[in-house]
Amino acid sequence: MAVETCSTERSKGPNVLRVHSFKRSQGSGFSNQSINTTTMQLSTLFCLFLVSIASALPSPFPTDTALIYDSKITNLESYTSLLNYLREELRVPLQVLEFNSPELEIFKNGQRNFDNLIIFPTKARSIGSESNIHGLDLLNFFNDGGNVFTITSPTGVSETVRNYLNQIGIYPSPRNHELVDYFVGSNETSFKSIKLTAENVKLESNIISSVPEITYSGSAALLTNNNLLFPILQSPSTSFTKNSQESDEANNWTVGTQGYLAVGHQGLNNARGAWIGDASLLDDSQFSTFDKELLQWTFQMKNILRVTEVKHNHINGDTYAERPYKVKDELEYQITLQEFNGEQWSPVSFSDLQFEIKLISPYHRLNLSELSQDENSTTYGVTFKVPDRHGVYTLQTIYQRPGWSFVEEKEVLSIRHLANDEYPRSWDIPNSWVYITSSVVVFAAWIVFLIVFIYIKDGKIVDSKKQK
Amino acid sequence: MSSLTLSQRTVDNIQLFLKVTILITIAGAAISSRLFSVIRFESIIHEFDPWFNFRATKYLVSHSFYDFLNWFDDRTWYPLGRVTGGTLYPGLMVTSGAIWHALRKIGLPVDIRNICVMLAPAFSGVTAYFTYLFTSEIKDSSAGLLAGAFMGIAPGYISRSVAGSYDNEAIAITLLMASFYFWIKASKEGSVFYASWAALFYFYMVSAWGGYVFITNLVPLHVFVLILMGRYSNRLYAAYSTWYAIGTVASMQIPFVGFLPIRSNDHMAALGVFGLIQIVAFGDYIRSKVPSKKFKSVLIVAIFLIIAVGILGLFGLTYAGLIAPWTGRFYSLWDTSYAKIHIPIIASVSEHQPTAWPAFFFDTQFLIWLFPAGVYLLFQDLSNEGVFVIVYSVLCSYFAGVMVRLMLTLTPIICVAAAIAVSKLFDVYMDFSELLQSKVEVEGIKESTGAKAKKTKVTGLSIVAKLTVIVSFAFYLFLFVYHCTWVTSNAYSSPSVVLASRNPDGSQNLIDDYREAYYWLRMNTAEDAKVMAWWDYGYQIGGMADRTTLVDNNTWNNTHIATVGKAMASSEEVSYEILKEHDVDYILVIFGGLLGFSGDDLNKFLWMIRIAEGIWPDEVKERDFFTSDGQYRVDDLATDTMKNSLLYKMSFHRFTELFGHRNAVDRVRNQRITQEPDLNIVEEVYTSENWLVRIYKVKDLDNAGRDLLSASKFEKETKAGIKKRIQKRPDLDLRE
Amino acid sequence: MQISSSIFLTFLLAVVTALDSAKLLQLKNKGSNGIIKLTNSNFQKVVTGPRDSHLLVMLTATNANVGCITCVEMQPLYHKIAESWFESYQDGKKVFFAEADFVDGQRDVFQAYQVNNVPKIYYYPPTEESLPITSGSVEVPIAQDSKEFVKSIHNLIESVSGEQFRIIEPIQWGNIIISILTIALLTFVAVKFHSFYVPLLTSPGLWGAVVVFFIIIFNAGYMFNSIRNTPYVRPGSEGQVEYFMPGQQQQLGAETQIVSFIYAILSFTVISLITKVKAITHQKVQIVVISLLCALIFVVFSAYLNIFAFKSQGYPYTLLDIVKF
Repeated sequence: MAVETCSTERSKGPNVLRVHSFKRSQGSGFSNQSINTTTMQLSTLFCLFLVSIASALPSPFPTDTALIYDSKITNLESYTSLLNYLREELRVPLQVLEFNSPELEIFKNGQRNFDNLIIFPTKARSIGSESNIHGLDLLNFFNDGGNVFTITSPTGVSETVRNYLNQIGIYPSPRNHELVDYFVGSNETSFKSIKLTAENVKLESNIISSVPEITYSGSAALLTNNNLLFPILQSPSTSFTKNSQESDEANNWTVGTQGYLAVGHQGLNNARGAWIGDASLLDDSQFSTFDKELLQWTFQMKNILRVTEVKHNHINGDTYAERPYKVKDELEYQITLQEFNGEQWSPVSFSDLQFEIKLISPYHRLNLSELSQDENSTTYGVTFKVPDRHGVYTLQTIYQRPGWSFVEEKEVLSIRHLANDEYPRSWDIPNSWVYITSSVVVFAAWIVFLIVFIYIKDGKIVDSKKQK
Repeated sequence: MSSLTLSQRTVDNIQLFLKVTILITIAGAAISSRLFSVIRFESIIHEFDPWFNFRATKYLVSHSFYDFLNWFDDRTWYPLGRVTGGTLYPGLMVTSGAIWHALRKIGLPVDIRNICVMLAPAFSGVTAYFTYLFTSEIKDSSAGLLAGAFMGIAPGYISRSVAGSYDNEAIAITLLMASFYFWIKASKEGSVFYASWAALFYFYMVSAWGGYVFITNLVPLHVFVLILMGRYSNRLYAAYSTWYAIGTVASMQIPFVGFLPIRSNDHMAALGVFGLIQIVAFGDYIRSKVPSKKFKSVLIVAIFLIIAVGILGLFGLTYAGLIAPWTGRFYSLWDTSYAKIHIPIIASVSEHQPTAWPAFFFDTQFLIWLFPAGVYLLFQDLSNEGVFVIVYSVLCSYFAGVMVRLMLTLTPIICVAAAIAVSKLFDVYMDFSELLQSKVEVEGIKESTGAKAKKTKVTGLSIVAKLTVIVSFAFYLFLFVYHCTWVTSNAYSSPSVVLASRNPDGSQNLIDDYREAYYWLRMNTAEDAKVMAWWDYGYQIGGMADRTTLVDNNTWNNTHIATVGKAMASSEEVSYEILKEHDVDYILVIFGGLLGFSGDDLNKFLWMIRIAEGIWPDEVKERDFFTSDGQYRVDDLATDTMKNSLLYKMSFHRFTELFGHRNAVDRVRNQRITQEPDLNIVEEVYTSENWLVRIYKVKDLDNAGRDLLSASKFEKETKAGIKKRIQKRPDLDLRE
Repeated sequence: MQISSSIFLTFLLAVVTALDSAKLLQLKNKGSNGIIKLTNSNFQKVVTGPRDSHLLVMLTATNANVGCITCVEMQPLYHKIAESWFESYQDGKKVFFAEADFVDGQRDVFQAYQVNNVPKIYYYPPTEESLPITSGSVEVPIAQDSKEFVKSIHNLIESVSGEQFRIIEPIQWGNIIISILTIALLTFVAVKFHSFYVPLLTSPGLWGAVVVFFIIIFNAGYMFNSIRNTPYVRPGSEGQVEYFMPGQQQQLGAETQIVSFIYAILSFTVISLITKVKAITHQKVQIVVISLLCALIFVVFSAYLNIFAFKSQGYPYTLLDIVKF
């Protein structure tokens, strides 16, 4: 997420330099002006540097996509609609590679060679020209920002893919394990072709928009409680996985709704991945909106959120640079978000966007309300009062919802205490009047006493003594 | 033979000339003996606290004074920040800032660092001068010159005022002596003028060092003792009232002090004596008007009653919470076991340890046994000033015995008392006037009688006796000078950021790991990176590496320090949460196991544990770090809690690798390390040449949502080529 | 059959040994301050139950040898709570307090608890069956602060018993009477004999001696001994007694005495040189005395330097080699 500190969009996208990234470096709070400018220059340089290597960013415009398959079990001719869709509609430069092709290098000179991977089931244990691609490599690819679409099937679960998926928290059923449901159909084949209903589709994952018509025959997976997994298809409650080679029916991988059939996942770096347990979902017979949406989502063409501007200032418009914040100041916080819907950046409407001001733990957690909307973005805002405690605060908006790319905007600001001349003067406090009065009276009395003591002679007393 | 006659004026002039020359020489000696470290190393700030003072001074000279006063430092105590302007004694920084500006005005732009480095030696010359003045008031100027010379080179003072030791004490001792000098002068003459000067220097002292409380209590104590001795006079009244009124109001102008002078118990003695002296003055006035014997007894009873009421009132107000109770450091002075039980953070500071007797000798050499003699001699003709010296001596002897750092305040009075003793000795034995007389006699009446001749002979013998005394003491003085130079050169001139050691062939080997590491931090980490380290290194990281720290030597927030202690002492899972909560980017640990440097973090570890235990007694337990037979071990026999603690892991990470996986010996604790600790949540980014400083980067949350332990396990297994062919059904919790 | 009979026996035993509050009250009244003293013989009976009362048990060690400061601090507070409780409820209201002190030699109790640090407080709810002592109880956390400690125990008792009570600060009549008597006696002595001590009190010589005494012992590291509890001497490697310990940062008790003695001799000699020698009228005697005193200083100072050089290895400036280590 280091990239986050100052991101720009890639050349194809609208090239908007985010203003707030500069503010952050100010916000880290140097009171020293000269240091401040140096920081700004440095961060500018840093930004420019990042622009040049911005390929590391997850982006709505994928470039290179590799489709990896095993010709022993996958006949690409039955996937023409998929290939056409990728080439014609999504317009991704596609390389179709055999799993052991020498050209298959996911990293080249330490750089990621592709943006997206589609991995079809393979019979071999590992993929790569010399079986040199391990699960860790796939994971590194994903951690580096690449998107991975994996398909396994009862006939093809490679160790590479399995290790990778296990790390994410997806445990697909092993080789030869198939999902069966004895409550549908009447013969062996129909047991294995399960028609999914609306019950089995999890629309709350926000990845697909409608219940698809799917006949599923393939593996199922167990999932961990990893929050970054978004289940899409769940196996029916009457189904279970069964090892077709063994007669022992007690040895099940999943039972009932425990199993999942399609899962999306997203890393903290917003890289996306998807797994399905049935390659036939993608073939020409079943290629549908479901696959399109899943591909769009996985390849960052859908549900992408972006922050274009974060602004905060005094309620009267003064910025932090002009007048650093101090305790109990009234502040205004604004954040502008937009969504990429596959074609363009557009405004987006959320009611559960929240803003936090925290010092170790949040002092305020406030709902952001929609302020304005233009043709491609929405601005949210809130006004709040700085807590009565000086310190180094983090102003943050964290929005992490299933299916949406994560928004994490943090800015560290120092909030100072009241300066020595910012307290009310003593005479402004009514309680002090009594003390002020008494001290003035004491001064006056002292002067009077001095005058009396020095200038008034005690002649009379002397006289009276003399008289005695 | 013509006799040389000199007019009184000429004698005075010669004396003046000699005094000036001697004082300049003393100042020269004082300054030059403090320059060892500059000559050996470079013009560098020493130790820990001076780095903060230096940083604050840089801030002051680059900003306005008011900016400095209202400085909110967001680079320390992350994320709490520190209201630095309101929580420091600005005297030191303002002094060097003023010097910097003054030098610029006269066209001498000097680097602020050089001013800071040279400030302490420069002020030591001034201290010698004020000691001279002070002692002159007590005895005479010859004692004064001796005291000045002693003060100039006594190691007890040099220890805190070598070049580069840019600490509050550097100017505070000067101000202490100045305040005392003016106070003595004022109380002697009853002069409002001198009392105001005393108050002014008191104010300066308040602005410079927390030890001002010493003056706040010593001066009233002096007055109180004088009143008890029946030596009250109007002079005393004028001096004390002026000093107290001006001094207190002035001291309240320092933001850090604020309302303490009327609210804290540390200051109540001064207030009480102020009240008492008013009553005594009133009683004295009445008595002068109403001569009656009975009045005296009434007065005495009244005084005792008032004192009793005062003490009761003090207790009452403290109980009611109107007056702040004594501060922890103050308690630890009187109840010596208090700190050990209640405030580990105070007990952990090495300066707060009691003093063993060699330290006294080390710091003052033969002055230490002249000191009691000098004090005793003051009783011979007990003057008011003498009472001051006596009170000071007893009080400070006690304090210096309790806390090593208070040797510093004891040293001046040792010098003064010893100078009085030596000067009295010389008064007696350097008196050759008798000899001159007898010589004149002998010459005048050559044809003298036998009796006269005998007397001359005896006088000759007495000269020998006198010479014996003089020569032997002159010899001791020489020895003293050698001792002081040796001590200064060997013990007090190391900047402690650079360690010096000897190679087997005797050549010097400088270990510069600290600066190397701080420089690495400065050059290789983000400007707003947060570095966690034990508080000892906070100021240095802030000053040299210019990175944000979590805790530093200011130690104002025990909980925050305990948090760092807990992060170091807990297992990785617990630590990681703390680290993330506090946005820690890097962790810096000091490891002396390779070099044999005993002041490393593992040896300070017990303090971290104790301080953390004070806040989280359920989570951190000191007992768990000791083996069942009560030993502090780091080898295979170490407890699991010890082996799992983050600090242990960071210290010994890759340590066995260095020895080829066998015979890895920790040279500080002399224990054998055989296992490589399993470190997951941080990764090593830097280790200095001698492994003294190790810097670790805190890993980010795992991108795929795993916990870091299993993430690094997977990575290690893959790299080791371990493959899991057999698929087992994972044992998972039900997915919600 | 055997089993059932043994169960029956246990039950019978339980019924017989079941402690009702009256018995506990009896036990309590044996002690002085409302505390049941646990001993090797009675603790099983008291603690294991069955019992119809609540019971608090404090394990402590107030012996100075053990050096448990918290124990010494907490014990009187615990007693105070117990006394306050019985002050409010004479019959105990089914809450009792027990205590075992390590000093009293009740080792079995401590062994049964298997504690390795004290103080500890356990709370036992009423029970109908006999439970082993470690499982029938809840350990009560002990607050570090004495006020907090009293408050927490107070709250605990109130909540388990459902009765309110006030902590009564005991008035220490004995102390007050003794103080009054002492003050009266002192005043009497002060008034009666003031002609004796007033000159003494106002004598500068005496004050000087006292002051010098304090200065000398403080400068000889007395406070170090009292804070660190240093041993007086230590056995050497060959079984001989060592009076000095090498190292500048440490010392033995005997060192302070020897060093202060040296300081005293040196100071006294200097004082004599300055004040006393003048008074000798016979010149030859005077000269001899002066020489002797100078020699004494030289010798004692040499010895002192030897000691210091022993403590601080590598110290170069010594005079005569008088003391050898």
